[in-house]
Amino acid sequence: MDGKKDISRLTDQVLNSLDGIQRAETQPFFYTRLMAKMETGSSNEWNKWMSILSRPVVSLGILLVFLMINGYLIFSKMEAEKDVSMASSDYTVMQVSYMDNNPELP
Amino acid sequence: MPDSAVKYVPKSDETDLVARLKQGDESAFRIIVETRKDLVYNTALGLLQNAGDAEDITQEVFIKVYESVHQFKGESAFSTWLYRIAVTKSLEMIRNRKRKKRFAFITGLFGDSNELRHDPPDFVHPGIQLDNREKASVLFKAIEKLPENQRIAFTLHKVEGVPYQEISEIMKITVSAVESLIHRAKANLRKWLEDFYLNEM
Repeated sequence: MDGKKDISRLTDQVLNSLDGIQRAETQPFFYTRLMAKMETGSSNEWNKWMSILSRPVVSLGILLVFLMINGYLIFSKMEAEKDVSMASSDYTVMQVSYMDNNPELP
Repeated sequence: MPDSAVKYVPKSDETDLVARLKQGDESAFRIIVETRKDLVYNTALGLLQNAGDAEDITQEVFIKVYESVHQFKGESAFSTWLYRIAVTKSLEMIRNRKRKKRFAFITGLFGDSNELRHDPPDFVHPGIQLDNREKASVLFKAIEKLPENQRIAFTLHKVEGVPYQEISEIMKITVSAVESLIHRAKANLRKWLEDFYLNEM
């Protein structure tokens, strides 16, 4: 029972521990550092792009698009090969038929 | 409410400074930075609980202000606009940190295990009275567990001393919604702290 009371009292103290808090201040020469950062804006642009690209949603999205393009290319290549093989088999059949029909030729 | 370093700029002067900044006056920008840097820093520090990250965010906030001051229409106070940018940027960093933590095992595979960054040490706010530091450190650990909106409302009110009315403008919600968020935040913190001390015993 006392333990519960102690915990409740301690919790109240913790919840009130921010009373009278003072505002935190930046380190001296903040404006100088800010100006330096603004002058190197281009590298920040690069970092910004890298941070966007490193997001899982973005990187997984790019990967998915890449895989879809890859799949499409492989599929269309297979289709093209199938067409070529069908055309060549047609050609072979035609040749055989021609020879069969002209036995007098050398 | 924090009472140190509050540098009051009258509304008319603020309007004038913003107008000058819109015309590209760098001295106006310097005055804005010098009078508002601690407001932004303290807000970011309360949310991020890391001095280095809070400094980075403070710089980013003022860069954003410089680049997009023309978007500020004066419908709300300039400080409200600053708070909003500071909160948004801080939340972006928190989400970024969570992503890094989630993928920490991958970075670990490549020998880049920034353990300190993924699991930072207990945070001590520099503006806390000496005898309250240990308790406040536990409270900040509990604040980290709060849902995003409760965390923003509670931190703005308790760490930066922003009144409910201005929090409602920053978060674009009603005052009663702010009251509700802070009430729920306190209830959640109490529950977390009681569990914490129960396990400690």
